[in-house]
Amino acid sequence: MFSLQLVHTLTHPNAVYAVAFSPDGERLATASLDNTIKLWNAKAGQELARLRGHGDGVCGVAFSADGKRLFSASLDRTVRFWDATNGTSLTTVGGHADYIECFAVSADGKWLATGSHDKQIRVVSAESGSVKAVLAGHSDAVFSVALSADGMSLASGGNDDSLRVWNVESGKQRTLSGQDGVPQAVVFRHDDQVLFSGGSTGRIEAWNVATGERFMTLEGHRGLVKAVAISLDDAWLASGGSDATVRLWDAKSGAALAVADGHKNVVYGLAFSPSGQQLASASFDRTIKVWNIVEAGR
Amino acid sequence: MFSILGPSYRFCDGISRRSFLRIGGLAMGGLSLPQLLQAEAKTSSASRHKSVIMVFLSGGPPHQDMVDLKMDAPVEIRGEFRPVATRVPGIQICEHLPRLAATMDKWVVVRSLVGSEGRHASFQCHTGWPVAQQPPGGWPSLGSYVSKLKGPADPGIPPFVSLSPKMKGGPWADPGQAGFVGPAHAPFTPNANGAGAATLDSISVHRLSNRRALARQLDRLKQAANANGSLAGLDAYQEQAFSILTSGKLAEALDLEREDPQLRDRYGRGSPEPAGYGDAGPLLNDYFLAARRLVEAGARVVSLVYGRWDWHGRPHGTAFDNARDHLPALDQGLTALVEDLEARGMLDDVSIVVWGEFGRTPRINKNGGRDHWPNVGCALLAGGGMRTGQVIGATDRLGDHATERPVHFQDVLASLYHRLGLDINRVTVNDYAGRPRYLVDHTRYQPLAEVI
Repeated sequence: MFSLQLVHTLTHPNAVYAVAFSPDGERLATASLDNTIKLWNAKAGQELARLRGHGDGVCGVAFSADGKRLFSASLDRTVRFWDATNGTSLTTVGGHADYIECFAVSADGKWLATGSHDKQIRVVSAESGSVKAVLAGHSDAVFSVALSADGMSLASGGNDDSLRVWNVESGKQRTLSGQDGVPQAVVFRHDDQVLFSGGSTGRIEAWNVATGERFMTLEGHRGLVKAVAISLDDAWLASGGSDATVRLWDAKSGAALAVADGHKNVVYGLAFSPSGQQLASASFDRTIKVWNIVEAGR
Repeated sequence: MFSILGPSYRFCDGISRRSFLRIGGLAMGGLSLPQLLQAEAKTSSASRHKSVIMVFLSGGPPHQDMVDLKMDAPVEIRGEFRPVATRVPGIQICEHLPRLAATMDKWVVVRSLVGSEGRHASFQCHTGWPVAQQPPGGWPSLGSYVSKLKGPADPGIPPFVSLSPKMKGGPWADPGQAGFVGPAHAPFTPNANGAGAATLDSISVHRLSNRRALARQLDRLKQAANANGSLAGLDAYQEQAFSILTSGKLAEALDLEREDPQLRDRYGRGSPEPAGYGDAGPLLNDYFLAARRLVEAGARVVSLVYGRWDWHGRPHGTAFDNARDHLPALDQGLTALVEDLEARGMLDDVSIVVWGEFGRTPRINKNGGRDHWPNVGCALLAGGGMRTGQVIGATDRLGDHATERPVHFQDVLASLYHRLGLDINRVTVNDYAGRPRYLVDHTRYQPLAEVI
């Protein structure tokens, strides 16, 4: 038996869309509809810095592999690169013609992806900001995006009710069929063989990336599943949604392990700590909650 | 509006202070200080004056997700929320307004607000009129009319105070124009230059009392204003302006640190930052408490702008994400205000109106939002000795249009004037062309008979 024990409740003055741990687990970055990013000492729960510069809400945030840089995606249609040590804005990457809705970074830290209301997905280098690919095919806004570990495969969910897997190099795509409405959140397992998608009616579905077959469905949420995250060792899957709950699952068996209902509004973002011992959740209720993952008897 | 002290002004003590005191807000209704004091001496108590608190929900609140839920509508219209019973049998409102539901006997729900011109602006809530085709000088707002006709209830408190902070969207931040009653009756706007903190902490008012330099500043301002003809008759207000600045009552009223922390918690405190992506009113419940302190101190009309209600949907959150965020905060602030006023014996003297510029579309859009819907909206009324615990008006099954008792913005304002003791069928003020103007178009709009 597992439980999620609340460690910190951190706040923004507006809805919080995303959260990320630094590679060493020492810092948290949080992205908010208040147009800012906050950096926190993850252990103490103390705010270290507030990064201003975006002209609209910030919907995605990630650290570079070495923890020295920070990347953020904003509704202002740009991605910004920041110096994570001093909060200086380094580069601004544009290109989208409408709001950015979703953001992902590859596990190797080399590639960033954004999905937009302009119906396109853009993949850029995390080193230089140069454009790797512009993927067009969705017939409505792109609501969710995920990159494979090496950044060469990409999964996306659109408001056109489609779940797609792309080859980033060639731009070729295929559609996975039978998913739960609009895919609100997607994430690859780190071996890239499995894709998890969160749907419109509360279902989380596991897909064999090679065959496109759905082989597992996780049920428990009521309403949209807005966020999914997977631990570095691929053991655990976390999910959050419009029922304001955070749920922990066995990523292999699909068994429900724990539920936390501390939020008061939709959970938009989730991140496991690198050690896998903590989970952070970002909510429209203006808070970020940091949870210890505790196994009974340990 | 004119800053008394410019941003770069330095006092003789060398301390630079960014001023947000505005000359337009220092009006005294054209009366001299002795006259004012005599007038007030004739009243039983300044605290017995009638007043209005206007809460402007910037962006257009969703009537069908707040007080007029449409459970019989199709799913693409109905929304995510459920109605709950209230203290008044037969009246149901949104589940996310539980405290209002529990105190519904203290409220009037208007479900049939009509006449919106569909513009993102506070103008129509302040004046009752559309922006287009104004008379010479422009339509005065409620607070400016009251400033002109009633003058101050207390020489140390401006009769019309707007707590609106600076915003990118000027028409939302519009604190209410003085129009043809003249800029001397514009609202005092303590937050117009700042981020919304409802205090005067950043200015040392007591120091100003010793600074004759202020008078010289006023002289210079007067000369500049007269040169462009925008401030006729400033002399009459100079002493009164100085009185406000030096009495300390205004600063005291705005200083929420003087309140019991438990009472501030009951109101809900909140954040001074914009409630929506850098361009909106703050979700700052301190405003409600500041409004109570201001009317208690002598203000006749206090307006405030609260939250961002322009919920078009993703990626700025669905209408329902935002409603789950805003409604509980509004619920807490409004009910605290009524509870507090009642506890102080002020509720019958203070009318409260809560509304926005329009309602929202019945159909939920593809991004989970609702768009602008000038056809119909809603309003809440409380206090002022009004007959509460009732619903006025109704909409059709979809919340598309009013089917019973359409209530115009000017009907609501007429009711507020009535509560303030102003007869909308008799009182006139000349516009800049010398034409007498009634406070509302009394040939079409009247105080709501249901509440007075």
